[in-house]
Amino acid sequence: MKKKKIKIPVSKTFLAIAACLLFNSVTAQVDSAGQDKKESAVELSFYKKADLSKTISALVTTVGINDKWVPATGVNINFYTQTKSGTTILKTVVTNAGGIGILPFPDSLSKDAQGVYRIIARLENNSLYKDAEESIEFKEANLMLKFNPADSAHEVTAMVTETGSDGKEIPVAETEVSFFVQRLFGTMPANEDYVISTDKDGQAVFSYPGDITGGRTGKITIVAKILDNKLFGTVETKSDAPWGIVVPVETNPFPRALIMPKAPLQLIITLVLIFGGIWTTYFFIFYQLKKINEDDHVKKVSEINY
Amino acid sequence: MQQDRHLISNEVEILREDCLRPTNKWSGTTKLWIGFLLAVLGWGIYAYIHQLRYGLGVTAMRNYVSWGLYITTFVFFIGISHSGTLVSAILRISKQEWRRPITRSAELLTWVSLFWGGIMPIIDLGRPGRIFNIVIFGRVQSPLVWDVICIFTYFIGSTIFLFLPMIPDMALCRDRLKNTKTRFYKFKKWLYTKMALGWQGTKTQWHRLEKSMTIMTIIIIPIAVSVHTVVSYIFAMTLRTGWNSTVFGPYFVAGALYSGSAGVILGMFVFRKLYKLEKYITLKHFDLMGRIVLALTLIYAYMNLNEYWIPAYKMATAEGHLLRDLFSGSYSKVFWTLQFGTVLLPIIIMSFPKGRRPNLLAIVCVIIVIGAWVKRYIIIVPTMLHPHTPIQHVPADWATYFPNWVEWSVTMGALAGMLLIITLFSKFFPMMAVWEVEEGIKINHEKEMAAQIREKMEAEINLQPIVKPG
Repeated sequence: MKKKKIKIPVSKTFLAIAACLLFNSVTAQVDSAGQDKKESAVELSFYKKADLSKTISALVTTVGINDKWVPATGVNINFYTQTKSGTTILKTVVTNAGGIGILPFPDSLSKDAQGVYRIIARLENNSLYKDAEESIEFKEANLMLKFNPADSAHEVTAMVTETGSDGKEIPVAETEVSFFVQRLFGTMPANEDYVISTDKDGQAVFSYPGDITGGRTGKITIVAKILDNKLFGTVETKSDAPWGIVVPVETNPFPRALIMPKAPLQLIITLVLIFGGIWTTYFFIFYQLKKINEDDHVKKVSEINY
Repeated sequence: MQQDRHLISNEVEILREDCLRPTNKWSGTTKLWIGFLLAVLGWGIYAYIHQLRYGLGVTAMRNYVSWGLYITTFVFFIGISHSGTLVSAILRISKQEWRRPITRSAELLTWVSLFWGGIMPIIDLGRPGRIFNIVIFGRVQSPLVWDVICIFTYFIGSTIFLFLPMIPDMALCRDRLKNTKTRFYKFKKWLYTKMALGWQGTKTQWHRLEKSMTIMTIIIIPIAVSVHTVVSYIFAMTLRTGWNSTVFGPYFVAGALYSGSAGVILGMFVFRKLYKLEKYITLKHFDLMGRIVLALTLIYAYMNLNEYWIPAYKMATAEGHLLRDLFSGSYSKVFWTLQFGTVLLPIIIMSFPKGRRPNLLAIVCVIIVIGAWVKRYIIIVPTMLHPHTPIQHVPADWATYFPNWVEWSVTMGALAGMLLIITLFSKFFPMMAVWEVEEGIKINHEKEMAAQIREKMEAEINLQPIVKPG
């Protein structure tokens, strides 16, 4: 029995294949767009500086090469505040090169009856990263420094309080305060045991060592910090004290020497004399050559007549 | 007397012909040779452009060995540049008459090797434009600054020293260039006229030239010594194993004179053969130069002994590691081959008169020159691979070094460039100082005549009867 041949037009076949390929590629792109989004994470912190300015920082990280978490740069972060009435957006901030988006603390930010702020940071609807969210609750603490009487030898008291609903300052006990000294490129712990917990009166007393250098005036800047506290975040205060050792300013910190930026005069003079002498000789020779060139009109008297 | 004068002028005429003949002839072999050199130089330039484009990472140099083949070649070239000083200046100042036919090639070798030697450190820079920073921001205390000053000063001095004795010869070339069919006629006419500086051979001109040459002869010697001393300071003034040595200055100068004089012999040998100058560069020249190289090799051997024996006796920690590597480690084969093959063997060969005959002496000098180059490599690379802080937590290939194709290509390009300049020079200028050799001929004749007169007078005195008084 002879089989019946089914004829399919070539053009239609191509069209069908092209349609299939197009469909496949579109769906593949959609799928890959969903699958290619990277994992991400958000960390929130509150920071109250010594000048009383306050910020809320969101650190956004993502999975980089070798599955290491790296900062995500240039990402939009939405900050929200959560109150009884619901969640309200505060601002959208773009992360910097370190993956940090900083929100200046809004003056109008509302807190609950216990004085607690609730902030949410969201990474959402990003084409590169999966959605991520983090929330914190914090209270605002006040950190003050008080110098003890002069005979108490470099002693300072840090007082931690929080503002009550009635507007009064309430001492905060058992909060760790770290004591530092301001140096040129950051803060240096004042000694090995530089972390002191506050007592029931909210006070942490610390004695600064007497061997800290204080520049030409002997003045040092004392820095006290509550670091990464679960309730208060990071709070900082600083104050100047005349407890440093006076370091006399060197009148000539870089005298002329072989290892210094300026060379010793003896070396300069020697080199100038040697090379000056040589180059003067060269110029004398050039002068002689010039004179040879000018002497060509003189009658030949040499035995070797070129 | 008349006959003597006739003889001299004949001899002078032959000399002039012999010296100027190569400048008018461009044989097929010469063209082929120049083509080959241009090809190698072109390949070197290509490799250098590749290096410029992709950075020094394309070479085998890494953090630890940051001075490799380029700096090795730089030190080698600077060493070779001592040839002119030794053969020309020292022999000139000590009034060695036999120097006359070989001074030009020695001075040329100095000039060319200095030219390429000065370029090598620039090639070693990832960003060569930053070479100007040494002028703008250089510290007077830095041996690098001294090096730049010394090499530049020596280069200018060598240029003057090469040019001064060429002036009368340029006038000779100018006046003899009559045939318009000569290759590059117009260019040569212009070149010779400019370089002759209107030379007419007047008494005043001779006086000025001789005065200038005497001054340059005296001044070029300390400059040359200072250059190689300062090159050694680049190494010795860093706190590095193997370089922290007080004898590095004289050691480098001795090494430079040893390799430079061997280079001169090679030049003598090649030009004597190529341009048929056997009549002027005689066996005596090879014998005397052989003696000089022998003496310099002995001095160099003595310096070598001091350089290695004293630290080897102590084997201090860091120095010990390096010396073990040299004596019995990865560099031992090269090290001992250098000591026996390029120092001891040449001493033995050159100690015998037959060892100072042209062919054998040329072979010895080839060995010496190659050995001098490898020696620079042995001074630089093993030290860089033995830093005071151990090499750790770095990719494995950082702890070893062997030049790759880019470095070889650039270095061979530089070598080809050096040979190309020498070849082209010999095609435009006489390779012997014609007037100096002429002067030598006249002095010899005068001496012979004086000897003849003396003999005659002595004979006449002997013929007279002795009359006893009384």
